[in-house]
Amino acid sequence: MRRTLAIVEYTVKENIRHRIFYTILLFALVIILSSVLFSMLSGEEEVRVILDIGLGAIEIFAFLSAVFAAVSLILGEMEDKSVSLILTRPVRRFEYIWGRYIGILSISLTNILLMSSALLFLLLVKSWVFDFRFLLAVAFIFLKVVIISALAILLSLISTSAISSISATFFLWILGHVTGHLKYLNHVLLEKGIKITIFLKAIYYLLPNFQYLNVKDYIGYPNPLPGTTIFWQLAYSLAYASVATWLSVLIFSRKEF
Amino acid sequence: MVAIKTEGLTKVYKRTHLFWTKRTRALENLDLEIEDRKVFGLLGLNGSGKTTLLKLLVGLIFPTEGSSYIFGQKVPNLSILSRIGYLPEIPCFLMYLTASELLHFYGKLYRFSPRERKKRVESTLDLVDLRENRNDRLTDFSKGMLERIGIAQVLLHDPELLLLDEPASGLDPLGIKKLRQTILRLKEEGKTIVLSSHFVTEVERVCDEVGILHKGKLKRVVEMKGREKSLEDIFGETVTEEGE
Repeated sequence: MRRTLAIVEYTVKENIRHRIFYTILLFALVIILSSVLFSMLSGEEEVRVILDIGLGAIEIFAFLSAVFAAVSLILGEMEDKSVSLILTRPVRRFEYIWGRYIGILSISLTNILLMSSALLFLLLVKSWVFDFRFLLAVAFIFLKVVIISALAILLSLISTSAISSISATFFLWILGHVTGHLKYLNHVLLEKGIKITIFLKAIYYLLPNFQYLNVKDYIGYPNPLPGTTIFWQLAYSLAYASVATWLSVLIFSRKEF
Repeated sequence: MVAIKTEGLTKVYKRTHLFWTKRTRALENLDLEIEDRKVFGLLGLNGSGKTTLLKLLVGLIFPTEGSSYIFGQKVPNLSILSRIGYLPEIPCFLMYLTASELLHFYGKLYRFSPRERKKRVESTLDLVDLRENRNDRLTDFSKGMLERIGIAQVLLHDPELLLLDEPASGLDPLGIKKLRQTILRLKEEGKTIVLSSHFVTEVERVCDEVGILHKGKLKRVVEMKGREKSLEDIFGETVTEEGE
């Protein structure tokens, strides 16, 4: 555990000293602040616009920061071989992967908390009535990052370049938001006599279902989010990320440097 | 006591390009025994298998066939790694860290207590004359300073066995002299040192035994004491016997 924590600590340090960390954070804060300008155009829905743009920006920039960290740190360290000076010490390969993963999540969580605080401050200035689902939405953005970071690490271990790894992760992010439509697609295809249900089901279960974690859509509406749903969303995210991370461990254990 | 033993150690690298796999036999059926408290040199031309052997011993790559043992334990082995200091041919460090942070990070991987770690980091930085630069980032280091931090990370945990891959390759004459002095001092302290090189004269000056590798095969082990010819001649004869 101490070795994993040492790797977590240096991952955080590496991220903080990376210029891209501040660039992403700065861009996010600019977008969140500029949501006030957009809200002026929307008349009565001012707060809703700030909320939507703000949470959207938090999600996108949290995704970007996690993916860049996962890809640049892990792939970069494998490419320049600096990983060899870590693995020739008494470090198990799974400790390295989990250490890196938890480090990336720690920095993403810090990012999300900073961005959310800025958004919350803006909303409260605009006399928004606090809805606890705001916190839930932020937590679920983090859960999406938990999944996508695990996938980014996995893809950076498979791919040969940062570009292909980032593109593949981005592709999965997009697909993960439309997996719900696969059920409808299956229904339409069945009506036309095309039976590829098993194939579509396989894709449906294999791809991450980010739409399932979109709690931000519930804020401001009267329908509550049931506790059991939250439990299953949480369980789904943790299970998906764990499987992806253990797959990374499996691949990394066989890698030669 | 035997520090390193290999039995039929073979490594074949596979490079796959679409449907075509290229196989390169980097090390072939290597049987080698290295006694402890000795300085053993691995001498060979580029691509002779020196780096491959060292990487196999520290578990960075895995053998295709055969096995290797360090201090009687089969490798790769986590507990053995804490008794080994490894310097790669081109050491790449975590450049955004300072010299002190880098050594502290490595120290944490050995689970030293904070007090023990601090003591070791400071004494190691002293040893390689980097105390004054301990708070400088590695990105600001010169090539020579990076070589010295490379030596520092090898010595940090006071290993019994040192595996040095081409340690003199990037050093200036003064650096080479200092390295030689360090190796001889470590030998006096009872460490086992395996160093790979293609600098015959350097190997000749510090090693007790030299293994000549050629095209992945161990051609000859030369005892340095009592040899009748210079190492350069022996090496030349050994590699040209193959018709080079």
